[in-house]
Amino acid sequence: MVNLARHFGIFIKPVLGDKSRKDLFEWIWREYQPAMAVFVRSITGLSVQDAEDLVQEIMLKVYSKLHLYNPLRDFRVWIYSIARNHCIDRFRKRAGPIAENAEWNDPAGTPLTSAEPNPEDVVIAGELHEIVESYLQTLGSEDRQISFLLFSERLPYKKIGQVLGIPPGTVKYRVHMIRAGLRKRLERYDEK
Amino acid sequence: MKNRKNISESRLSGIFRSYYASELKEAKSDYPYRADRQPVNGGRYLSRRNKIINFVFPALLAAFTVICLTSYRSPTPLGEAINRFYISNELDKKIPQAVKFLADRVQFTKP
Repeated sequence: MVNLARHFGIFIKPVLGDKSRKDLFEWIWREYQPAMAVFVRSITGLSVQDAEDLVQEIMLKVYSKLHLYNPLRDFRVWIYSIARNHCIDRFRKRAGPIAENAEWNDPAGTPLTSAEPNPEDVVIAGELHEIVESYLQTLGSEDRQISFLLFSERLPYKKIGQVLGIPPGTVKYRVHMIRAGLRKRLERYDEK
Repeated sequence: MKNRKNISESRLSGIFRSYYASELKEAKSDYPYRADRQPVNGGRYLSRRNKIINFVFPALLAAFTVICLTSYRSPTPLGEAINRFYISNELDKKIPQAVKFLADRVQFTKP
């Protein structure tokens, strides 16, 4: 029910007579800001602070393009496509690469996570969190996006393909490889 | 730790999901959205400097214009100054001439 409200709220809100576009923007911000922050980090590998700046830019872009949104399309596909294109544009302008793995070194930002995670985080998040995080660091940008869109946003393969501009079959194969990679990592961790 | 060999796909998905759930919780932030900053002009926020340029300066200019118009030919120092400026620049002659010049060239057509 919560998910339904989230994904169809974009239609419901204006119909219910929300006062203004500002309310709509507030709603989009509330619903999508955390997910967008994680998604942007998965694309760029930036630090939390740098990602926040990008998220702001993306959200304002979304707000200014709301009138272009086609209600026949999934809102999540639309908003994540904007985010992805914006990140690609930004990195093209800076003539820098999008982080393909943890070895990416951007002087303006830090990698997705630091090599030595904060001990407090480790305690809170637990060992699985740590394993998944270090595993995601080894993945390429596109695989991290697929992982986020599938496991966090629960988008079907077809829609993930639409966001990334790749066929659903490729997405399915990549998901299989991502799962296999984590399984291998967990097994290796057990053997230690 | 229990043995994770032959771990199922759904369990792997669950591990990913719980990872992202905690990431989302951490990523939640009110920054930089603030209720006191209104999105205007196609979603762009107005900075304090832009607010001054967009609203304060035009308001001051409008207020100055109103004061000038109301005090024109009034027995106040400002009114006298305006009047002096008006006469010394022969605006009392030029403005009616300009109005007449424009009026002569405007053609009123019948509907």
